[in-house]
Amino acid sequence: MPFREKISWLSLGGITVAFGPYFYMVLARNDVPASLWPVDAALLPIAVAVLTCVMTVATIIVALSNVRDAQAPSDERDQTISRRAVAFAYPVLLAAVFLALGTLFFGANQATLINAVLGAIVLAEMTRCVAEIVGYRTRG
Amino acid sequence: MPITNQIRLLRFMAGEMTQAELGARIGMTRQTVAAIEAGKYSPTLEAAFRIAHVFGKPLDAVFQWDAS
Repeated sequence: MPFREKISWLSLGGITVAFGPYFYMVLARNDVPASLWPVDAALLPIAVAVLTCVMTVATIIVALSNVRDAQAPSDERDQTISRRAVAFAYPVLLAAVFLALGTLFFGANQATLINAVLGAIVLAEMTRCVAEIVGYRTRG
Repeated sequence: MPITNQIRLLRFMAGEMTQAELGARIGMTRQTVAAIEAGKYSPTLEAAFRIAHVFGKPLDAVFQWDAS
């Protein structure tokens, strides 16, 4: 498996591990806070820290398992797959952000809006990772 | 896949050159060489010329296009 495909899998896993519990807690609570403070503001740095730690440790382990692949610069196939993945994820980001902004018309408050935008970013990033994996698995 | 190639045969004729060796000579990863060889990825024209240059063959001796 190419090193960059492994990184895409790690990113997908890291995002799921970090933001899955975050959005579960956000969506599972009964009360909707008027602002991000204090609950979400505490959860968000934790989610980011978990993502950073998972990605850092996992990337180091994967890189050490095959140093030559990790040191090799990305070639034209890697760049093509990356470009296609971004092109695929960008419309997802735009659509999700507009849907998030649309929550304002249904009386969304600051916390809901920011979480919706954050969800849009997370969804787009996961789409990019999946598109990269599919690119490596199919006709790259 | 209308584009086929003779890279596996040419590597064999070049003293069992490995995919990693070929990749290193043309600035690609081993996995990309494997994908090209398997017909899963069509390289750019520049990369195709570089591959042909490594084997000292004209481009059409390495890559073939089936119009049908």
